[in-house]
Amino acid sequence: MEGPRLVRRNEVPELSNLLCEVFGFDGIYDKAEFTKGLLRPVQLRGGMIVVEDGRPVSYILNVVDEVSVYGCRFKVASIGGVCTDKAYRNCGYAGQVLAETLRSTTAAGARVMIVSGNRSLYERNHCVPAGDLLAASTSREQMPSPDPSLTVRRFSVKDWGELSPLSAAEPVRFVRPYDFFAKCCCWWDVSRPEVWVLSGADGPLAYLSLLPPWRREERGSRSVGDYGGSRSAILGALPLICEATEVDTVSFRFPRQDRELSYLMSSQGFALKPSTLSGTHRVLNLPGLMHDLRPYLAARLSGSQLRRLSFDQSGESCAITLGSERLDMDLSAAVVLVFGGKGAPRVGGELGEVLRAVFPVPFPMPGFNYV
Amino acid sequence: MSEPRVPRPDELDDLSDLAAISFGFEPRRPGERRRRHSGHGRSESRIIAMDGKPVSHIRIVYSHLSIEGAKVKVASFGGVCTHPDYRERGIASRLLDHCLNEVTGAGTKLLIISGMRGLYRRIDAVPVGPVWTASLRADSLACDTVELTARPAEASDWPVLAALHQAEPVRFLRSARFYAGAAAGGHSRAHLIEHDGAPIAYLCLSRIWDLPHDAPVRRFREYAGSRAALLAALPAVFRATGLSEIQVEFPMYDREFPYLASRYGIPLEADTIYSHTIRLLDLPGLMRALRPYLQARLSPSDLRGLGFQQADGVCRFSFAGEHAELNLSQAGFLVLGGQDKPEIGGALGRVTSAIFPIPVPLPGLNYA
Repeated sequence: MEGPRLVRRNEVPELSNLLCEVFGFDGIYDKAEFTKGLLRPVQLRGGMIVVEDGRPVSYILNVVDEVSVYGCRFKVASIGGVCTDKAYRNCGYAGQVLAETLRSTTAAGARVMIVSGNRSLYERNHCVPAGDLLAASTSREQMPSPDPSLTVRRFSVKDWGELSPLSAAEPVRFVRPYDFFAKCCCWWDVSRPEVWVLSGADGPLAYLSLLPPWRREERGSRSVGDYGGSRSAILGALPLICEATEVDTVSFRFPRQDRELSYLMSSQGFALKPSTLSGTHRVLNLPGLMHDLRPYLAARLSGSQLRRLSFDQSGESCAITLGSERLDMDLSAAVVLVFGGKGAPRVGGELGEVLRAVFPVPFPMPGFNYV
Repeated sequence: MSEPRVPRPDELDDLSDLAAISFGFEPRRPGERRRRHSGHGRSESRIIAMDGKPVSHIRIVYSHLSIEGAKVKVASFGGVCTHPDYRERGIASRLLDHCLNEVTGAGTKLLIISGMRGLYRRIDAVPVGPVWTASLRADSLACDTVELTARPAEASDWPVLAALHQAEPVRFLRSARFYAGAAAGGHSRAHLIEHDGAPIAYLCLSRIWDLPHDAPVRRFREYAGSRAALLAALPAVFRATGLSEIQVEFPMYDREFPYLASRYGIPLEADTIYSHTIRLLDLPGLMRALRPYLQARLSPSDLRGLGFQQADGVCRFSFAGEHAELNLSQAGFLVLGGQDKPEIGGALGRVTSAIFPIPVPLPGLNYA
């Protein structure tokens, strides 16, 4: 056994075989294009493997991005493509690759980890479902009449220059530079989400990314993967998009702090239900995260509260103190306390008041940054 | 004539009288202590005194803007006034020059002035910040909805307003303490919009200085939260306030409002931020602070090739061997968007049109 270590360029064809075998990509992705995508710098920089018999047998891809939450920026690591060759399972390889990924991404300054999965491997490592989202779905018959003042067209990567300002104006978002699509994870190339540019008379008003389902029998449905810009234009254009693509059902999952979308959807009769972010999340560095979020805290807490509030982390244990009041918890509890979710610890006293004033911290959906 | 300076504590009653005379506030009665018209502190005031009392005044407030997360230090000038008996002697200009030097020396990138008169234009402060405006009457809105309510915000609502404001991508940065001061200022009234009992938006309405104080007309001063809820709640706001007209104003970078306005059939007029002028103080520093904003709009190679300089009242924009030299007023129009924006062609024009105008928030509760 060799590793965990970063994948080498000459190991990429074997890595592609491993991924296609484990995830059943054959027939969904073009394998040659998929393999080419694995050679991108972002894939090589974050591709951690265990090698047996001269080939990768266990793999995790990590990508460290930045998110902006109400102007506060912090690094997040996203992991995906987690797989182990059938013949090498139950050897602890996945756990070793994950441990090395946790170590390296924390060392790289990441505060939070996003995991595109929810199996027990992640749960044991304090990656838990989190986030304060709303979910709803609508069928074509339920949608209001399309707005005739809007036009819709399919997006191509060269449109990003026009849409990037819409993404940058989102208050809670992944930070995406102008050349984002040249550098992002290769799932974009192969999964080909259906991205739509929605325009009014004066130019683009919004964009909407719709993800087709994996299962062939559900081809008439889509889920919203990413969006930016005018929410009313998105809902106004939805019937046009569904008509153009012969899609019958669209499901939404969006952060609760998006008051515009939640108001518009509820006023149009959508039934909104509480939900969480897809996959699971883990806090990597609680004190670092809260340090990066200090301006967010300063807008919600008095100077005295802010001065007395401190966050600590030692291994898998966290503590929050406010003067003489203290909350101890493990990392799993910290994730749901900070970002929302089921099972958040209940706290009384002034510390409880303070925590309710600042948590849950909004967190963006991965969308185009999905790994 | 004194040098420009901070007023002494024993000059505050006279300063209060100066404000009352200049802005039409109710004068102080004999023996009455000074009135805190805007709740601000002595350290924010700069005066020139003559004949033993303040005769000219400017209030300076330092703050930061958050422009899509980029932090920009700005200064605001307000309460600019000179006693009628001392006008036409260059006193206000002298005080203004002093204050301009002070804020420039403090590393400020932009100066926001609450006023549009010639005094400000002479220091290259220009009407900028493209906005859409409309005058709405109580009987002209057909978007009422029973699930929405509007009520005047109480002191206990400020944390809710703060959370709504914090979600705005272009805004003044505020601490929790700010709202107590804003509430004490009293120039405008905040109204909280609730949907099924949950806060969803707010708007602040302020009086229009050209109209009598009791005129049933108010102007949008600040808003945050759901635009759709805000527009749909305006009938409820009219009912709650007894107003006959609300003049709405929203920045053109807000993509939600104009789309909704067109759906409601509300005719919009293009203008710049109401009754304010802005002056560029440090163009290269501003653009450095805005780097995250620029990175979303320009490729790395375009960004590397773009240069900004400022010296002796001239701003220079350069890119790919092309350059444009503009005076501070012209540069202000280009960078912040105004009706007299200079046209720039070629490759330089391509990159400047991708990044300008820089979005700036309505002064709102940060009105100086």
